Amino acid sequence: MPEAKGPARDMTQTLGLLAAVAVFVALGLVFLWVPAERVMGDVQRIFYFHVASAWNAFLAFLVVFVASIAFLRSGSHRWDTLAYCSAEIGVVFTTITLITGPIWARPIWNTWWSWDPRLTTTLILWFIYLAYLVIRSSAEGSQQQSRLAAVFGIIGFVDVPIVFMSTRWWRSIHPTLIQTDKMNMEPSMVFTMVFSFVSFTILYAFLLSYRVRLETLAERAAALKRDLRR
Amino acid sequence: MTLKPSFSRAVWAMLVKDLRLEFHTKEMFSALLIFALLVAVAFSFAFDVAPEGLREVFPGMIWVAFFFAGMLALNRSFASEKQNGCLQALMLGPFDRSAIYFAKVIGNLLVMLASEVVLTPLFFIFFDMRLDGSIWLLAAIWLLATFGFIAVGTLLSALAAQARASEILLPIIVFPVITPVVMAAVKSTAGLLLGARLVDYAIWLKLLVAYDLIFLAVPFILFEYLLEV
Amino acid sequence: MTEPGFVSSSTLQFLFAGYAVIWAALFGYIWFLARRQRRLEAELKRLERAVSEER
Repeated sequence: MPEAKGPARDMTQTLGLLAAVAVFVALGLVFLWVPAERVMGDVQRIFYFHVASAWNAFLAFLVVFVASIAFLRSGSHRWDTLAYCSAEIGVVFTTITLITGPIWARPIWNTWWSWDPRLTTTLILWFIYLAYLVIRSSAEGSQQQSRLAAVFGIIGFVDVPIVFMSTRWWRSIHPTLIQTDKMNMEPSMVFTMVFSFVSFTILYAFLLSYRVRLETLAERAAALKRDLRR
Repeated sequence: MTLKPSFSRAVWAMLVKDLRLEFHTKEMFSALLIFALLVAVAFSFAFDVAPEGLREVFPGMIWVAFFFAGMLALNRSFASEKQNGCLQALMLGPFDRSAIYFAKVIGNLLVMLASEVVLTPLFFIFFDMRLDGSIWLLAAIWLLATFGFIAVGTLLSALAAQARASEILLPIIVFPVITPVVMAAVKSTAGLLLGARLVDYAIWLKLLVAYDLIFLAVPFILFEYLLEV
Repeated sequence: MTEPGFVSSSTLQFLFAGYAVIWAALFGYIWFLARRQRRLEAELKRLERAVSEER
């Protein structure tokens, strides 16, 4: 866990290097190694990074949830910083997922957007964590602001499975035209998928440690300013 | 220990205080009523649909009107306590802070249900709807959906009241979280009004029950943290 | 659904657009963070100097 000083510079740099290598290898696998999917063709190659982004978003929000609980229980400031930074990264990856999804859907389903359970849930997820960031920026007094955000971070995450269930039932009343599950994944595709997941997880770890480091820098600057004014 | 009032006594005392105030001013009640009717009027202009099509959109219309109007009530719920430092005083009271939450939930629920009792027949008349199904089922849907909305909304209204620009913040944080309630309320109302069999939409009633229970339990744990001095 | 051949020949632009978005978002975010870091480090240096001068 990052101490009050934040993650060490070395750790962030190592993670960054590792993430860059892993993501580029994943990119190589996606474009040069793995065969095109039989039905969807080349455009299916979006899928690997699209799903990996979705995974990162979910991971980031899980970290927000856990860190929010830990913050409320312990009152320790570093949990709060962790939750905030993770939420911001989660929103970035949710945005990537939301944009690449329609780009993939357009040639395959012949429509940019469909109110399919996964897309709808992702969209609502995006709104929930945007709201989280709005709370972050709209409360004065750091201690109170942190508590408000932590409460919302917990509620938002508890809500996600309910949203997913309801969007699924909501759609199941209409006939589903689209079945994304029916993709025949060859072993090489599964490997590329898993590798993309791993590389994106490292990327998430790098971004988180970088973001937490920045946050601690900002806090130090704010503390120095307070000292000077005194 | 004898000085500390029981949980139910504390809830009751705060509820009576809120309701007495509301009874005198009718601030929330009248705002809810007027705003919901205005939304209905706006809808009737915006979607000039044939009577057959109306049955399909009516459930969505009525719930969007209720929830939009309910937002007004939620905005007042804690903001009014903030004005004269009343919230601070309540927090210093010799009882669990979740008592404040429960009193507010019951108060908001009563006000919103009261306005729905007036609004629902008006909506049915305006849009020429007939209820073929059971009125008790309708009451159950109304109660479950309104409770889910109020349970989450009251907690978030306490949250927003302590932030800057709470009136703008509240809708932004409430609507994403209540999307399951909106879906379940609209779907079950549609099932009832379109004469579907209960088994076909019972799943939505179950969802509402589950949502209500979850968001009664979660605030119970979290409310303490929300109102720390 | 569309024929396999049709899909793979005309969809490369979508594939390109998809990865362009991913890279733009990732590098945009990292660039944004790096810029903030530079500014913060400069400010910290300035502040630390001001603090030591005061003493």
